[in-house]
Amino acid sequence: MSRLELIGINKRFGDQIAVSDFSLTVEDGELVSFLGPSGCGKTTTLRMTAGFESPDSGAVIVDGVDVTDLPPNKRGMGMVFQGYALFPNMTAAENVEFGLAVRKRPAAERQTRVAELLDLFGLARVAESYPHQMSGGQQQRVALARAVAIQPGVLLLDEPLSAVDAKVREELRTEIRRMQVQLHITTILVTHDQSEALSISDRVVVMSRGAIEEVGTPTQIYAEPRSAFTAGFIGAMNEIPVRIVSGAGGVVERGGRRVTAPGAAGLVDGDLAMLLIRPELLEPLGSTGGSLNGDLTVTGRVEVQTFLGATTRLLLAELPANPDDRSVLPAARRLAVDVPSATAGRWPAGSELAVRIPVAASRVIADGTAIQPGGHA
Amino acid sequence: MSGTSIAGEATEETLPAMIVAAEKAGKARRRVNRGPRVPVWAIVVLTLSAVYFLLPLYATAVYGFSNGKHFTLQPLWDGLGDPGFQTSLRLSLFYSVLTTLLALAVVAPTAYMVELRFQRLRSTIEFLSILPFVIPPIILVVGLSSMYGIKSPVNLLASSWAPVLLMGGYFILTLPFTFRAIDNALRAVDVRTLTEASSSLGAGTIRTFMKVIVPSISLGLVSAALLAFTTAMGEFTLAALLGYPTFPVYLLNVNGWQPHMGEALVLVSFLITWAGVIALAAVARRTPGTQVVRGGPM
Amino acid sequence: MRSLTARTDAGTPAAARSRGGRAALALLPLAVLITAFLLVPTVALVWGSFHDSKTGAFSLANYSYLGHPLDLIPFRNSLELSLASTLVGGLVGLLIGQAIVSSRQPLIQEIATTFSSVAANFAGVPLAYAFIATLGNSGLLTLFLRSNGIDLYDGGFKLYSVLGLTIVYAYWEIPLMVLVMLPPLQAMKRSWREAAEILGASRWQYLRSVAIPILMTPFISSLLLLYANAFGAYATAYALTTGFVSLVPIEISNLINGDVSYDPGQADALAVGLAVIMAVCIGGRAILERRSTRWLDR
Ligand SMILES: Nc1ncnc2c1ncn2[C@@H]1O[C@H](COP(=O)(O)OP(=O)(O)OP(=O)(O)O)[C@@H](O)[C@H]1O
Ligand SMILES: [Mg+2]
Repeated sequence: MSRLELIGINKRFGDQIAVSDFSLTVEDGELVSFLGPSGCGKTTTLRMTAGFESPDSGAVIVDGVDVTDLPPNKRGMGMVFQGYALFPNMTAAENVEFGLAVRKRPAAERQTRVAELLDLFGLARVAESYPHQMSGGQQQRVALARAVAIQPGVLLLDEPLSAVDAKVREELRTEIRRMQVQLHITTILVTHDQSEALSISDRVVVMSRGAIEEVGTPTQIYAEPRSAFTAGFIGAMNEIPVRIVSGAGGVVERGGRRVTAPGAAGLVDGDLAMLLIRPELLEPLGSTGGSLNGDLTVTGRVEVQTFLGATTRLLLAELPANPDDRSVLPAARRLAVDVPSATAGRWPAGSELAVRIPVAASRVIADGTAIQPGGHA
Repeated sequence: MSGTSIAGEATEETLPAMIVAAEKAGKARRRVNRGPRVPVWAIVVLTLSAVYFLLPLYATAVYGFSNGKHFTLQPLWDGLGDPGFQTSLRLSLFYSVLTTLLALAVVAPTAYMVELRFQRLRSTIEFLSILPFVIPPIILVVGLSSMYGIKSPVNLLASSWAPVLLMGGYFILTLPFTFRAIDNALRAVDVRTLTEASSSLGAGTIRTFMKVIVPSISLGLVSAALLAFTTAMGEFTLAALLGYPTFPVYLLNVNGWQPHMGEALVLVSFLITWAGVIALAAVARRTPGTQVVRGGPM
Repeated sequence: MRSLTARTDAGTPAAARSRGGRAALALLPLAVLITAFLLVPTVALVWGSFHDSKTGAFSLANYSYLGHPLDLIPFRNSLELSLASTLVGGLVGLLIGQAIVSSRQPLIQEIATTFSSVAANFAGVPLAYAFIATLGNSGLLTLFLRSNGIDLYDGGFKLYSVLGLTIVYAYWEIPLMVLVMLPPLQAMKRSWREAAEILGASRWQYLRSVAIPILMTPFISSLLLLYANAFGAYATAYALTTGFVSLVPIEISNLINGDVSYDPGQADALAVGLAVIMAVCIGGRAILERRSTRWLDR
């Protein structure tokens, strides 16, 4: 219902920079997720938006109104806290009613509104229960109902699903999205669960070390990451060393083959670079080889099979095609290849496998910028 | 319910009319960074209470280290050298050590057995462990003296069993605390598994208890011992009313005729309590759930 | 004891029963001590309260104090003293507890908690003398105020009065309150306040609708503990007043120890009255505790 703008926000705690130069506009009715490793400043940004922390510099603007200096109780935002923060001395209905009671709405209006909300979130049965008598999922819904009861302009969710078990989590995230679309509430969702962020957001903000790494739709973030950090952080990503043959032409070389690859244009000739490709895009060639059509191949020995449900992930250790390659290019790290589980039996551990790298679906980045999220936090 | 009924009005009334005049880039500002700071009212409260709590200690020291005119440690040396002090302190130590040993010897095996085999007795024991709150020393002493006092048919006081009477009383007074300290420690280690492992290696119950259980609950035993010892050292009611001239009883009397020496000895008594409680606090920090305060009427 | 072993052994095979019997032997020492020094004296006390001390005949005369306004004076004094020291201790202790929590400084919390443990264990003769040195007729603070033109004793203040005793009792009631209220105060989640705030509540609305209701149960439960604690305290009161202020514990001690006033039957009856008050406090506390642990999961 509101357009939220965060402009040039900075925050440090003592020596530690928690958030640096954070600017973002969340459109009316949009759901934006903050995604990033632990300690990257997601919660701090959210808390500054809510007014629990004040930024060292920068502004929070809602519908063109600067709210940076307003206390939280004057901002009219809704928030769901990580541990829900339900009032333990109140029933579900009383919790939902709280914001309305504080606003001194007439009793009749309060009651109908509470009843509607409990209905909307499927809580009618537990209306008179206290938080300690409810399941985690139910508490979660009460927290949501309580937050939207006041018709907030902006809804802030801090890891709302981290405390419920996996099955309930998937169910609830769809429900959050349904509710958010239905009520058309501008929403920020903080999460460290990428599937959550990718599945229900309009846009995803990838953060690292207090700063925005990249903003984009889930598809953009997943399929065409613009930064190495994003690429490494979102989903599994293979990094295959290549050499830039022609920065001008976007041509790279590996194993004696030269191909034109996206992203290679503009890199320095002769440098090492990384070709990024997702495991599910690698195609097993079988024994026949097949046409390469300007693509690369890697041959390796299957070390481990990991069953993932519909697909099975094969971990491949590269076998150099000829000894010379070694001296020219470092071998790829272990390569992950996702194959349909039905066919995985063809490549038991120890067997040899050649895979095709569909270069058109890959992305080349300069070496040294590829950062593993683990080493980054 | 429809989405629009929730998504209705809101913004005008929830947001103030603070319109951004300047362009947004110009809104960036600097603020003083506030770290976590102690609120002023908290400082005032804590300071005032520090004064209230330290003043009596200071006054005691002023009196105890003075002969009425100027500073001197003489009252302290007098007190420490006083035969009455030495006798009464020895008596207090005697009862405190015996009570402590009795408590450890009786409570530890019992708590172990309850944990291991008699879980059903737990509620009974818990009930018994709050009973001494309901029956504070002043009530217990009435019961003890009417049952075992001078004028009762079972006159323990006048017999050679007299020490047992006071020890028994102290044992009861400290039971809730010693039991809880040891029981907490027992629950923290998995007594059943330890015992099964030990007996599968061929150890008998007593051997298991001494060689496996006791070492693993040693912190609990230490805090139980400290609780029993400090309680017995400071106990006045039973001792005074049953007629045992222990240190606190002596302290009451000596103050009447030698106030400076009395106050000096009060400091000695403080030191004993302090040592006990601070040691207890140190142990308690390493064993969560241990009660530091006796919390019963004294 | 026999009933206990019988219960635990019910329905077990013979071999297990003999083992259970041996294990039950470990419970014997505790059972003997509790019987001898708690249960039997309590029964003797209750029995004695219903029998004439001289003739041994059944009589309700010992409870005649319940019908005589004059004989209820000790109860009234004790009630007043306990109420006053409970309110002072409760409110000040709550304030200090919140100050400790609000300070958010681990060092302050550590020092305050340890000192509270120490102070809550100060009681009896040493505490009485510390206050005599402070606020007695020629106490340090008394003299200081007198030299500044404020004469407490001319103003009618006496240390051995209900007011004086209240000040002294506060010395352990306050830290006791701090110790028992710290866990619930620390269990108050910051996110509760933030949730209330973001929903539009003012600080006062948060206090009224969330903080006070949640803390009310542990608060009242703590007051009950303080009340019982003050009501049953004997040593401090006796050392301060040498029996001049008529309080229930002091009357009891006079009845079992005095020459003129010796009347064990009446002492028993007073003790039973005191125990009833204690039982109400401690029982109420046990009931409240159960509720508050549900809200503040600690
Ligand atoms: N009140 C505070 N005082 C000092 N440092 C803080 C405070 N709050 C956060 N920080 C620091 O600021 C950084 C960002 O913290 P923040 O809680 O925003 O991270 P986050 O992205 O939410 O991480 P997580 O996924 O673990 O919740 C962290 O390094 C944290 O240690
Ligand atoms: Mg966080």
